[in-house]
Amino acid sequence: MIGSGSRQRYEIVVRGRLSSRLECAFDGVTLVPRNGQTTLSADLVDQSQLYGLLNRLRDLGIELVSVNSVSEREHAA
Amino acid sequence: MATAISTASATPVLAATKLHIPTLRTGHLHRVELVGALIAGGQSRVTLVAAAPGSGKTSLLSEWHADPSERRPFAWISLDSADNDPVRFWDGVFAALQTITAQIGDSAQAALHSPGTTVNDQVLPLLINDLAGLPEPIVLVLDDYHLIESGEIHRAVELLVERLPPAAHLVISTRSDPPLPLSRLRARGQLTEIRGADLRFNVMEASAFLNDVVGLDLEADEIARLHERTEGWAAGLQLAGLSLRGREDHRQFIDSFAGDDQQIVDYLGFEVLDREAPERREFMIQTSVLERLSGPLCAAVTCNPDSEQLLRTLERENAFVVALDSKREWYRYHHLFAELLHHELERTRPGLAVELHRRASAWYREGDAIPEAIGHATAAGDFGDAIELITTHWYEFLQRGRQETVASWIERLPLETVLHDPNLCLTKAWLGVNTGRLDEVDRWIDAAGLAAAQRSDERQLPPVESGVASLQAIHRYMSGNVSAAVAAGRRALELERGGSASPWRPVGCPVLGLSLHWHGDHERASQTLTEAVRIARANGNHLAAMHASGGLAAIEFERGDAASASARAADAIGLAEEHELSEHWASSLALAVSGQLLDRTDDLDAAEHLLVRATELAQRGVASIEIAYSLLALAGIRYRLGRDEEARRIYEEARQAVAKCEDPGVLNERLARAERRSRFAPTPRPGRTSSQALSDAELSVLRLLRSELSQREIAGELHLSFNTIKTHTRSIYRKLGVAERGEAISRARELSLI
Repeated sequence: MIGSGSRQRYEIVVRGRLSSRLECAFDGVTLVPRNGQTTLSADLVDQSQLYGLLNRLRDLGIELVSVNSVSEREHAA
Repeated sequence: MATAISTASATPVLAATKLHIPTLRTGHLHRVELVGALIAGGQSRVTLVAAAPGSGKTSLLSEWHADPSERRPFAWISLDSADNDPVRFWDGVFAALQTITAQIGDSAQAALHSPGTTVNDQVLPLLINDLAGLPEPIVLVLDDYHLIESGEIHRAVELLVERLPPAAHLVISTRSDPPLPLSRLRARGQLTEIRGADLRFNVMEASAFLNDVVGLDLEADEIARLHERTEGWAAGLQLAGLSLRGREDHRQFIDSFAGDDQQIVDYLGFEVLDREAPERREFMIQTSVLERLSGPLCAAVTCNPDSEQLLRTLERENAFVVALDSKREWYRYHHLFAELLHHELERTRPGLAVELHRRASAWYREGDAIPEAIGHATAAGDFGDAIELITTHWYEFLQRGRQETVASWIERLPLETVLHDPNLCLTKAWLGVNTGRLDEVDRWIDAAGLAAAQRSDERQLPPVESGVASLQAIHRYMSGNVSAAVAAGRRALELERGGSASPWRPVGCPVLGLSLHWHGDHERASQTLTEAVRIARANGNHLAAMHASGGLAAIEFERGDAASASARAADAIGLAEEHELSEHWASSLALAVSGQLLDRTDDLDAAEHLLVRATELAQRGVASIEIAYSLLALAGIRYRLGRDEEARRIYEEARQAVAKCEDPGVLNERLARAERRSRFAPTPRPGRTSSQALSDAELSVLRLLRSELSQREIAGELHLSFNTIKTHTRSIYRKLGVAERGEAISRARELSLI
């Protein structure tokens, strides 16, 4: 039922580098490490998915730095 | 495959584990100052411990409890996501409190299990009362409160906090700040707060932990670097300790670790996991699908016969396995580690989780732990099994008031699956009836019909059709459409006669009987209700028995047989008391009849008391017709007590309740009669001549004259002869002063007869 409905891209910045081993655990999320932080990018269907992802990060003791939605233009650039 | 389990094993032990106050682990580092702050803060109203997982919240609270300076007993509950069902949540709170004082919350619990009561209005005041009466101060701990997402529960807890008596102190331990008015509490000095920063280990504590507790022999600068890297986070230090134990070169490890910016759990967690022996690693990864672990359960899931021993060893070696009781029967993984293990399971053994869940479901099923069995079956994608369990047990859980639990079972299934199963649709309809969401009921009944039509399984059909008819009868009754309820109820009975017993029969019978009563067919109502009581008692369905007995009491009362009425009412009320159902609306009719009986003996005050109670209970039940019945009787008593203004208001309420009913049967005429007698009738429009009162039987016929049924069909519908119908019709026309059917209907409407 999750199909071609519109998705929103989110960028979540967390403290620390996340290994590729942990990356496998997050389906459909790409990790980009930079300067002691990691940016997770994901195309999410709705807020529930976003909160779900944030909760999983919290439950791993991962510290949030920022959460931003990204417009089409921005991430195409 | 699952090992044999005694039926006493699964559920009672799980319940005990939620109430168990975690014991301090060997190697626990004492946080003397923090505990001091908690004991001192015990004079405020609420203590909030809010910090990320792995900060040491639960350990700190255990230490507080164990401290000799803290004299108060602790009531503890470890919450889980299933506690989003308010009934389960509050049951847990009562159980926790009852570990301190046996009777606390008894009346509140009775109110909790009656549908139609709200926690805030009926349950909490009783609980607060009990708490106020405590001879000694106590502490109530809600652990893992972040798992609660139900707004309903948050509001109730807010109310509890607002009205908390001085003897009770509330502790909330959580990963996220709860949606409670914390700033208000802070401003009033009623909140003691311990946050992540407070929980961090300082360098000295880190040193004590790593060197004294873990037994490493680290230099001061090594400690400092570890402390800096982990920022004093308890879980980080613990993981570091585990990684360093048994390692030769501490310095090298610390150099790499400290110099890396990899997230701690990611780095160290996998470190620890990788260094585990393969058998233990495999065991931990596989058992990560379980919320709680026991030797037998793990053996069933992993097929490893040494499971019990493994668990004990893991707990002893502090590898993030936590004991949940003092007997060392149940454990769970520390949340951080569980997350990691889940990920490893998917990474190294993709797809195995399904089989593991399946095994867990089977084990729980054998142990009669139904919610857990359903949860695992659903997680495994075995919807057929989940549905089978749900269909077998939903009724029992509803009888225990666990609506939200049943609703959550069905919610977790894909919508497609639910729509395909007629029994699940019927269950959803029944949930709608129970929670007063009548608009949904029709939709789900239709869905059930559709699903049944699509099934090629012939055996299904009679129970589904009769289920549909029973639900329709109940729904129509609740909506106040008496004649439609009678028609549906009759259909249900006919369908049942042909098929096997269904869960609907004990419930549908009283409703049919009562509908017949309001419809004016007292003879048949009496027969049906007597049968209903018999079936209900045979099935152990106390609520249906109460409801039906109440109906019989009403019929006997109207017949003028006071002794009989009194006996039937006593039956119903006796059942309520015996089974702690006194807060349920099913006894409202019986109470109303008892009240009216007392009225006859001139004990007006006692009568009024009973009728107020009857009305209060009726209002929890959604059936406007029963509400109107009680209101009518109450208005009458107030009038006889000389309280005219109050009586007038109650008559108005009764009128509104009747107006809500699409077809209130005889109540309309009764209301009109009562109002006329008490002179509270609305002023008649000029030009209307008074009419002679119609008998109940005539009213039944009159209502059916509204439809397109011929007189012969009406006779069939009412089980009377054609001649009788003709006689009644003539009488109706005469009394109303009309010549034909259409006129009769308009006149009747004018006079508010229908």
